[in-house]
Amino acid sequence: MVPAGGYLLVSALLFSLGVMGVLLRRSAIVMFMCVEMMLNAVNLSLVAFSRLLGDPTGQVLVFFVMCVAAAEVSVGLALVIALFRNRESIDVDQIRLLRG
Amino acid sequence: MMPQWTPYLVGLPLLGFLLSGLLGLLWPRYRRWEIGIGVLAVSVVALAFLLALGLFVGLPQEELPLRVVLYQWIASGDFAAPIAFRLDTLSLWMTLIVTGVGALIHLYSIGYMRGDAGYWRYFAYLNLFIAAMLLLVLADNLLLLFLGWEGVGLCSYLLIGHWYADREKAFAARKAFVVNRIGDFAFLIGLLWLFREVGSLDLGVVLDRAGAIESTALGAIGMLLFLGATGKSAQIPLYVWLPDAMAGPTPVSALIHAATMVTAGVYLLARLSPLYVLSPGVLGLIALIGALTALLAATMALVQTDIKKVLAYSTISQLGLMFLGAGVGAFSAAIFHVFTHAFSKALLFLGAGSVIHALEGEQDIRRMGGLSRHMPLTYCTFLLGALALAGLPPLAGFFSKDMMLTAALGSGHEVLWFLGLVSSLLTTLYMGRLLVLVFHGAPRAPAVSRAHEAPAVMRLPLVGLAVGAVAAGWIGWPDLLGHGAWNWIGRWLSDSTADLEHGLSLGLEALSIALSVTVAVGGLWMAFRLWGRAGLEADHMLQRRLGGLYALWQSGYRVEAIYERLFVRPLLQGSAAPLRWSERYIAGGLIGLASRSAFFIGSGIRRLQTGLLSLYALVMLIGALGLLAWFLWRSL
Amino acid sequence: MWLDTLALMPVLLLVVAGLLIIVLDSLDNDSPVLPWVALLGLLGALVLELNRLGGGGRFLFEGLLRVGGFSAYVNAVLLLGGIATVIFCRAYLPRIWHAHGEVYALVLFALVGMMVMAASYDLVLTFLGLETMSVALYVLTGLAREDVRANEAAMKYFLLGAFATGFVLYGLAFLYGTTGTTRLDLLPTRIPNTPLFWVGVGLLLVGFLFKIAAVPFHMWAPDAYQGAPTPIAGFMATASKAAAMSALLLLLGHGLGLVRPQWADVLAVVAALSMIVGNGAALMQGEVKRLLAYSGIAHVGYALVGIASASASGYAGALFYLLAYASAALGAFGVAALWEQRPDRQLPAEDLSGLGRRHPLLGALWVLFLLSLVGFPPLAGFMAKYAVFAAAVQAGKIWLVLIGVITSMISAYYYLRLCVLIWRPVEAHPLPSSGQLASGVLLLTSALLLWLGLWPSGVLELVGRFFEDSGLVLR
Repeated sequence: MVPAGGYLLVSALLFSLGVMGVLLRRSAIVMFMCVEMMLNAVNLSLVAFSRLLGDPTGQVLVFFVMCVAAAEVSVGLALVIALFRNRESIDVDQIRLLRG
Repeated sequence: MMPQWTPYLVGLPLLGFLLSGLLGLLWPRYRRWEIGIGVLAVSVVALAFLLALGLFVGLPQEELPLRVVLYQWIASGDFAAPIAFRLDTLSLWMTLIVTGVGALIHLYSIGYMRGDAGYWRYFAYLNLFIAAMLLLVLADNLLLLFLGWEGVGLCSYLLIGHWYADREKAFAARKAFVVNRIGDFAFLIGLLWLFREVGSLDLGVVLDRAGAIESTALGAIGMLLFLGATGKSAQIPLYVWLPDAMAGPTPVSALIHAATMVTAGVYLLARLSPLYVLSPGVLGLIALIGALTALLAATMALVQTDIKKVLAYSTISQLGLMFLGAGVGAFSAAIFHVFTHAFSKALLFLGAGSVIHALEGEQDIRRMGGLSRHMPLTYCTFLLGALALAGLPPLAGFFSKDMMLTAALGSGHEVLWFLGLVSSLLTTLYMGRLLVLVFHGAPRAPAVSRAHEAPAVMRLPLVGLAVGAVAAGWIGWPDLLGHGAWNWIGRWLSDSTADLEHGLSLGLEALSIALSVTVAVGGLWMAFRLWGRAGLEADHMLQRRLGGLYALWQSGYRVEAIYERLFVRPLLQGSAAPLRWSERYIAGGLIGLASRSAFFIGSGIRRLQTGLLSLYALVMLIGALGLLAWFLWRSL
Repeated sequence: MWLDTLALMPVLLLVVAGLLIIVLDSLDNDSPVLPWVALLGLLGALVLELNRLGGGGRFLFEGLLRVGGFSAYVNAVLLLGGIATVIFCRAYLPRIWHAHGEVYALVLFALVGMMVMAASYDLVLTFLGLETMSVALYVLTGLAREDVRANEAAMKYFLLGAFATGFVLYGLAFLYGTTGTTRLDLLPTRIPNTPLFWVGVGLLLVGFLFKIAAVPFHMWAPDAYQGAPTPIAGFMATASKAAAMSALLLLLGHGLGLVRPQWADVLAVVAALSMIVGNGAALMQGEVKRLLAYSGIAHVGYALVGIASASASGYAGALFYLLAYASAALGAFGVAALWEQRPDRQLPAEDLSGLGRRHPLLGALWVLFLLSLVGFPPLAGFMAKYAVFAAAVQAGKIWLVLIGVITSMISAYYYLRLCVLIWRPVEAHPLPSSGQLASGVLLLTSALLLWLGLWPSGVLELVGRFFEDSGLVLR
């Protein structure tokens, strides 16, 4: 039996990894995958908390999160495709027409 | 007359504004129907005047002050700000001045603005100005007063910039607006502070509880509100906008920048006089600033060559005298001077307007002269106005000026009294100079011979104002005569103002009056001798004799240059090229600093907004970490 | 249960209308009927919400949501924004060749999410509302998909939005883990003073502050508004901010109302930063939509002053501010949408010159909207600023009020520049898209501004009634 703190630690590590990925990577797809990693880190801690409290709400919430993530994926990929069609590139550092 | 009619005083001009504005905006043909526009604008103000007269006659003095509530504007929690008007001797008197002089100037404008493309706009704004000014003087709540205060500032801005296609005029308008904002800012802070101390901004409550405010706070509030007054009333250090404000049409200068709006600061001091008498230090400062402004502006008026600029500096100087009067505790005398000055200065401005009109836009007095033959009525009325302003008895200006000066002497401000006397002397000199250079002597430009009298619609207001300039002083004879029994205005106003008693022996008072009369007669005689004989040569002679001092007066004590160097130029060097043109004309202390730092911050932020997504995410992360650090720190 | 569902009628109406639009769109592509269907649904919902504005709120589904009162007020503001957006879209979209039917469905779905946020007393539901709104808005932002600017705007909004969602969820997880509940009505009695709980609150705030574009979570806003279709930018600036602000108010005022000192100061700092940064950046901005975006950031700061006062009058002031700001900003964005004519959908400030000469009424309304944004009396903007500042003074946050007053004075500079610009004697092009309906909306919002400025008592009393005297709990 791993103590609950362990799950939370892993989840925090995963979350930080995701955050760092969003900051450091330049491909829109990879950045988005890092966001997904953050969400999954949250899922992990939600399940851990749910077990800890003996309360099902957390696990229900995980399903909602997965749902929402799926919706976001569909929109996000569509945006990436639209961008790629116009620019032949999905490097976010190169899209900076809007600034100032 | 029922006091319930009071809201219509504000409502009538407001209605005029709305009608003119909406019809003009939506119906292009209306814009050319000058008669309709003019009659509408004049009649609403004239009606307001009649209404004010009715209230003045119909309400016995014992029943004042009255509070007329229109409706509850703000009611949130324990704070309520009703739209309420205060009818007392002070507000009623100011209402009479504003509507009376205002109606005459509206009438004059019908002729003066004929053929102007923005005719409807002009009258709409003029009506709006009257409404805002009446709101200012009638408001029972300081917040409402502030609304009027901002409103007159806005109208002044719009009307100075009436010919906005001319860049310089548009910039003059902006300068007036910006300088006024500095004062308004102080005013607002003062109001907030007052609210904190008293818990209400209703005049009744504020004046009742003035004594309960702790004295340093009271002094600070007084100072802040006074700073607001210096902005609106063009006193040191915020007077720089008024000379430039002459870019507006001349009737606007007469109405807003001589007779009414610029006196709002004096009105504010008189309105809050129960508050001010509790902090003698602030009063002393007010008197000092007033005396200095009066003196310095009078010297500058002496060397101007633009007819309207002479009058503008003269206005600043006269306002300085009013502040001196208020500062020595003679609030009712200051308001009395507002009253007499409104007639004489409006008259002078309208006369100047007729001259400018006749000379097809010429404003330089060096290219005038000998106009008295071509414009006899204008000359006669202008003469009366000038003599009244110079303080020649028994014309109007003498009585009010004398009342303030004796108060200064009686309250032990001998130095300030002397400064006031010197500025009176200077007043006679520059008024004499103006009169002689414009109307006497030989014509100095060909246009003079073609000059002709203005149409009747412009002559009528001149006559009306001239009557006032002669007789308006007779309601306030010095205490010397009848021991104050003939001083009707003092008794009327002292119901609302907290005048300080001053014990002046009859002998000293007689001496002071004698000196005033001597100064007036002597100064005028000197001016007529000097400029009457030598004409423009006298200016050159003065320039030679006074040398550096004269140059200093001409440069306006280099104040503009100092402001320019201190605030404007550093700003220019700091800001981006496309913004330069707009910043060049901001002269003023706080706003210069504030806008400089604002532009600095702004350009910094824009540089941060690089369009880089990762940077945006990084800033978010930093923000998030900041939030977390905060909460962790608070919970530990 | 059945009755509770019935009480959700306004939201359901929008859902049905949205679905109907999708079905109709598939039968007759981009049919001109679609905006009318959307309007019908919106008006119906608005009537229903206004109808229960006066009464107190009522809990549904065992405390999951609460309708009426507070939520009715916010929903009315949201629906006003929706109606204006639909009408402006109808005039604007054909001009950029994107008169797609699904736009109206997406606007309705976004509104459904927003309305759920304003009514939700459970953070899970709030989260779902937030995401429903966001996903729809991502699509709307990138509507002009052949335009790189639109791609960029949508991409930035989307990636940063998803990033913020991660924070919200993580915060939610901590909140749940430390209190064992996600319900706002249970939260006040279960607040543990452990660091983990407060970390959760902080993370949760990131998400809300991102959606209302408060500094330092604001950087997406100017870029997204510039690339989005102009009416949609107006929709994001008003409705989505109002929804997120009301959710923030529910979380802080209701859920964390008992521990106000913990969060009030940090919110005050965010408010101050927003006012300074928003107004400072707008000062130097030449593109009208970007300028309005920065001005929106500043206005969020003013509204946050009310929340940071942490009192009943402060919350009421913030709610009043939302309505006042929404009316003025919808109008300003509406005029911009009607006037914009460049193929790249940009609107540099110089393009406005001559507008007032060509269309005096439109010019006058533009001036009115901007003056209200300045906070010029007697317009709604003045009263709104007054309400929040007065609350902050009562709460002893004088420094915050000082910053607010100074920044709003500075803001006069750039607003007045835009006001003056339109009256320049320049020959201007005629209005590219006209619409009686759009003019009607502009007139309506300007009337609202005047009404709120001159007779604010009614609305101020109404919003004051949503809070108990202590400012603790929403009624």
